[in-house]
Amino acid sequence: MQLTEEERAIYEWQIWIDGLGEGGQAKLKAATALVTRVGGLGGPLALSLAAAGIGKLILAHAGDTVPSDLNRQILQTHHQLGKSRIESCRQRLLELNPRLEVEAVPENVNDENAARLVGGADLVFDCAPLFQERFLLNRECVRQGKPLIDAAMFDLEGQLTTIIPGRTPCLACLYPEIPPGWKREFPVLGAVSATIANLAALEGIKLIAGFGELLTGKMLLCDTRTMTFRKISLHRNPDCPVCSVLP
Amino acid sequence: MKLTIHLLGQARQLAARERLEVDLPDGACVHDALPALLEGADPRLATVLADDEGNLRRSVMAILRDETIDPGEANLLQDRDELSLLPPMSGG
Repeated sequence: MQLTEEERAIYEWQIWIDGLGEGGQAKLKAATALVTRVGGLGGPLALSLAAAGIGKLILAHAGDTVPSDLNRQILQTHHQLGKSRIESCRQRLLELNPRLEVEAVPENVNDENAARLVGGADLVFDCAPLFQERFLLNRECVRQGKPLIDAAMFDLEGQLTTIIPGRTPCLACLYPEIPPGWKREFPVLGAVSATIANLAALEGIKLIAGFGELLTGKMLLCDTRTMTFRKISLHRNPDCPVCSVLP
Repeated sequence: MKLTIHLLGQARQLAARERLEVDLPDGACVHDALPALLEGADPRLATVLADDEGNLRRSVMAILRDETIDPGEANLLQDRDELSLLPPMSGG
């Protein structure tokens, strides 16, 4: 896909990046990413992808903006309180990048929409708070062979890994059960969720454009309380009920 | 052997501390460290970390020398090792 003169002007500074170049920028323009949900992680992630020049974003997130969203969900605004979250996301992203195509879906991932949402994307970002949604997304990505970038956070910590079905551990390899005692609401600071979100966006940009080293088979652990970042090695579960049955 | 256990994420919050040291017999596995870890702790920490048999839950990663390990495997842990326990995190 060719870049226009306007796009060359907008992305000039990042086209200078070793490994990205105009070829990588064209791949970004041709790419579609699914982001679910579009909150403290998914919001800044979508914003960075939009700024980088991705062609299309499919955004899935139900509900209306509430006050407790506003400490981290930077695509929401005070003015949007009580109104559709996903519509606010769409508007904010198009203000930044009017060339972006946005498919705004006012639903969270569920059994009925997962196959269609994943099927429309080249790459999926898992930013959901509930493990039922995360596992559903993982299973659908494995089934369709789509890369899944899994970002998560708690308190001042965060983690990130890139799942390539058939090559790396999938989410069910790492977490074979829905963790007991997990609550949808947990401590988080917007600066932390945005940090993990931007690392996830960077991982996706590298994956699409084809440069750099990915977190495949690795997990990045960040503790921003001590500013400690480390990578750990992950292993596939040979008996994984999701990815071990791949053809 | 002396083992330092680092608690990450939700485990750190529930334990209200980042690390503790435990003494274990040589050849012990990660599961063997749980009783000392959970003694006197908030019961919610046991819910997050331990299954019905008192073993480390399958959803909790045991990390040794920057690698996930099988918590039931004996003889992996060495004196003065640092083990991290990481319960799942999510988005939001």
